[in-house]
Amino acid sequence: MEDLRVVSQEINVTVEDNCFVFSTKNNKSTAVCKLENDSPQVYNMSSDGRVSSRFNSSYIIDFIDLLKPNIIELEMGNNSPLRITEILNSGNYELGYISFYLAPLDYDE
Amino acid sequence: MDQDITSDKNRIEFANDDPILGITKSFSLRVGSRIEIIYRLLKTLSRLTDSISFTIGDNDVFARVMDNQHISLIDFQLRKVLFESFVVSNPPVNIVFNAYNILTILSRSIKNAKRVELMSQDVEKNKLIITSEGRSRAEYTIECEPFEGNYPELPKIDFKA
Repeated sequence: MEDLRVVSQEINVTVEDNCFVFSTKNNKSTAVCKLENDSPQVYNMSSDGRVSSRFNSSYIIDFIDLLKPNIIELEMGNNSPLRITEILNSGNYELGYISFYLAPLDYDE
Repeated sequence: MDQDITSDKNRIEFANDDPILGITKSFSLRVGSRIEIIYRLLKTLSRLTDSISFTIGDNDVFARVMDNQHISLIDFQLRKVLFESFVVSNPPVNIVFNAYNILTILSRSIKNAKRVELMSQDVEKNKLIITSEGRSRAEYTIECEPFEGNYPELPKIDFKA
């Protein structure tokens, strides 16, 4: 996804049929990153209808970069912030969490 | 069970509350190898803001930091179990400090130190003492300030996915 920062200032995130699709502003039909239920990285995914939002690419790439491959949750809704949560753990101990909230580009509080 | 927290035999005795000056808020947090988690967290927060405010409660450290443009927000909680020793007097203790200063110190400590301690004997005195112990021992003092503990509200997510 790092290349996206150069290609586009916006990333479009669409969730449909239990599938997260990250695409560029100019070419929404071409997925640059796709997370599906049967992807090895995904252990549970659910969605209710089609959800789509546009985000600043620098912010979203920075956030995903900063997360380590611990348990990560992605949540979003229509015109609402994207939440990415990392659960900090060590063995059986849950040490805490870090949640990132990112407002969509056309977010209206 | 918080099994990996050292017993209170190592706890620091803080000054008693002064009936005239009021309640003394103080804390001592000792971290071992998990300092990397805290360093990474502080580095992340520093991308959003220059000064980091956090709250030390009975059983955790938490904070909520928003960038100036109100585009992004980070909300985190570090539980007591993350620390080797977790002592807090008169919680909650709310402090704010400069992100660059603490990151500069921790970037040195993280390479060699076996243990790092963050301590303030009285947050009203505006001093945060950072001690790193390893092959050598170093003590740093940076400025900190108490704050009201007011955090921005979490944005509502119209959860769909």
